[in-house]
Amino acid sequence: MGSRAIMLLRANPQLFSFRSSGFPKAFQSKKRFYAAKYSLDPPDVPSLAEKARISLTPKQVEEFAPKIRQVVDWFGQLQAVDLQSIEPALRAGTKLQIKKLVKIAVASCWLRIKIGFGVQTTEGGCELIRFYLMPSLDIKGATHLLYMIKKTLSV
Amino acid sequence: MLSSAETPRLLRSPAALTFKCLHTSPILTPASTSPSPSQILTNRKALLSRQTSAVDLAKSLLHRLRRYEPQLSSFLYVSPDDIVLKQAEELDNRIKNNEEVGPLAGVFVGVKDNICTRDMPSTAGSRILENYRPPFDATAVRKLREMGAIVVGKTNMDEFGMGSTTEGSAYQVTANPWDLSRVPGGSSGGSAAAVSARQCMVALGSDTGGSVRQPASFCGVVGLKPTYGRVSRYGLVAYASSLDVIGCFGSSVADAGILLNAISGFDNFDATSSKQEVPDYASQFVPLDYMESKPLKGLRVGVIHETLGNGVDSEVVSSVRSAVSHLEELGCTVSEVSLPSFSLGLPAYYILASSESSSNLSRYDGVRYGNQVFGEELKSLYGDSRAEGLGSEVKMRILMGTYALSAGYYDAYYKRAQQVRTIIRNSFKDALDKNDILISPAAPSVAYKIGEKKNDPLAMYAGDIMTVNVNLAGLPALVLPCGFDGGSAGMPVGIQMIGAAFDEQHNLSRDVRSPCPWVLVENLSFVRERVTES
Repeated sequence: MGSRAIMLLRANPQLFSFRSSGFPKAFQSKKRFYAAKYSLDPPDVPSLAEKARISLTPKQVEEFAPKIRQVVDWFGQLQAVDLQSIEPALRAGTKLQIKKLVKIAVASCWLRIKIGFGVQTTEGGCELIRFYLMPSLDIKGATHLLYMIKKTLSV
Repeated sequence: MLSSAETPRLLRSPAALTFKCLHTSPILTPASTSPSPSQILTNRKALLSRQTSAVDLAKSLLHRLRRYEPQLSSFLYVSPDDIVLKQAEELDNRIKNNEEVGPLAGVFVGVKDNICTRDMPSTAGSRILENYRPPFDATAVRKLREMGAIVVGKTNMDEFGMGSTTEGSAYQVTANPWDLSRVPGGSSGGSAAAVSARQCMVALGSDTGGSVRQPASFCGVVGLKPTYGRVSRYGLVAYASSLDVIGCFGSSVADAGILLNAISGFDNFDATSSKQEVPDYASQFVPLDYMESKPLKGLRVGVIHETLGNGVDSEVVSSVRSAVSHLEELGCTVSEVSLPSFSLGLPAYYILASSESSSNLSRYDGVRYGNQVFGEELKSLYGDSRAEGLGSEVKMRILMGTYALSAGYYDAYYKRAQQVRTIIRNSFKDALDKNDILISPAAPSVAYKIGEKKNDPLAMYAGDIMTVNVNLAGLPALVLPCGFDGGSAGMPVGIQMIGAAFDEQHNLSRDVRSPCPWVLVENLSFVRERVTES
């Protein structure tokens, strides 16, 4: 009995263009950005087998290579989807912790920590310098932070 | 070998079955002619009222298990009779002394082989873990045992959960009880076949991309996938850690719900398990007699448009549509929902699953875990141990995952797949804001013939289209049998009901309170499988 389900494998990528407006640029990782611009080499099964520490006989390499190539080509349909500004999911149903959010906010300079100090004279006559950490937000920072909290809690 | 002319079955074809079926097994003798809502509750009642004893139940179940096992091969390991009978005897003594018995007393459970059990081998369907006996019980198994359940054995599965037919098992191929020349689905095919043929009352499975729901649909039983994080994954052999969940099989929704109730909850040993409170699913079930004429009034049901179109067998579509119109008769407001990103889920899922599994399966190297093959030096020891112990589908997925995660390819594959995952998650969330439950078929076809999909990986992957998006989004889903395909094959068709995160009770309570095992049975003229002793 043939299955017509194989027709479901072909998505129509032109229909998909997902953009999320106003997404803070700080989230886009600039590190391995170059890879998307390069054309990707097809899978080299013997070198992959070496990386994965699986010994393959030449016959097995011959058997696996076309199947792997077929599946990897099929994976390639995701390349055609416009995914600009979509955040990668960490995992299903997670809420980013607020602590992490603060760290990101500080790194992106929305949330600035000011160090203030005051001088205090104790009873014995010593002068103590106390340091204070004060978070400060300007309007832009506050808006960004509220937006991120909203995104986090809605996920 | 089976001749093509006859389709050997353990279960009679639907036309021949009526409610007044003959059965000699004490497990299947309800008082009335209608199917009982919950085998667990019926048996519990019988035990506590001393109508039957646990030892008798155990004996007849084991007898039945062994009787059908040569044809089905659904178990990789069956607990020795004396151990099972000893546990049954202990239960009988407790009942005799009027002591407290757990909520799962007298329940015989089959456990999928990738869930660790201390006293039984757990191989995950693979030769590399042959004879591996874990030193601990998985949390789900521990909870079951604490509540009084008895584990009868470990069921067959695709190796490490990779596969949709159970032909990927390194040990044996399980047959579908409805047609022995067809597959039971995968990867929890053994559990589904065992429950379908009543070799055990309920069973545990694992669901990474539909591995509980698709076999439930193929074998005509109820399959429940909880929200990611609802059930602890401690003791579940990891395939794709961000997608795996432990799911339940039962012959009725009530049984699946009771089982879920038992195994859910926060666990310190699983960092991804959720602290969200577990509502008492078992208390949500209302018997049919108490229902008003429109028991589902107010329930908003959304039928996913993309799942009933091209590529889905027409019999599946018609079964699901008739189930949906039945739901409408019961008071639901049915609307059509469109999820345009639906078809993107399948490549995204396979990228994520292959990548995560390539990492998770690196521990099977013959040193940390797995049977060792002698090697001259470490690299060849690893290489040869893994080459000999792992099956070809597993090797392929590891290689694909290694490729997708290689330096320079991460952005193109893994990161993109994660981005698609966000899109899918958001689209489900939007749809579930407007609807309580989303409906789709559980699989685009009925069970395939054994050997049909063996050589074409993409054809096999295509069968998962209905189920993978739910794993990507981490949502709960329930699959129930909703009809049969019209042809002479008479294979069961399953309908999938997807709910919002941690909202399993919505799925369960609405469904059980109402129809799904019951009124659907009466009105759609399909009967849940009953094995007639002829």
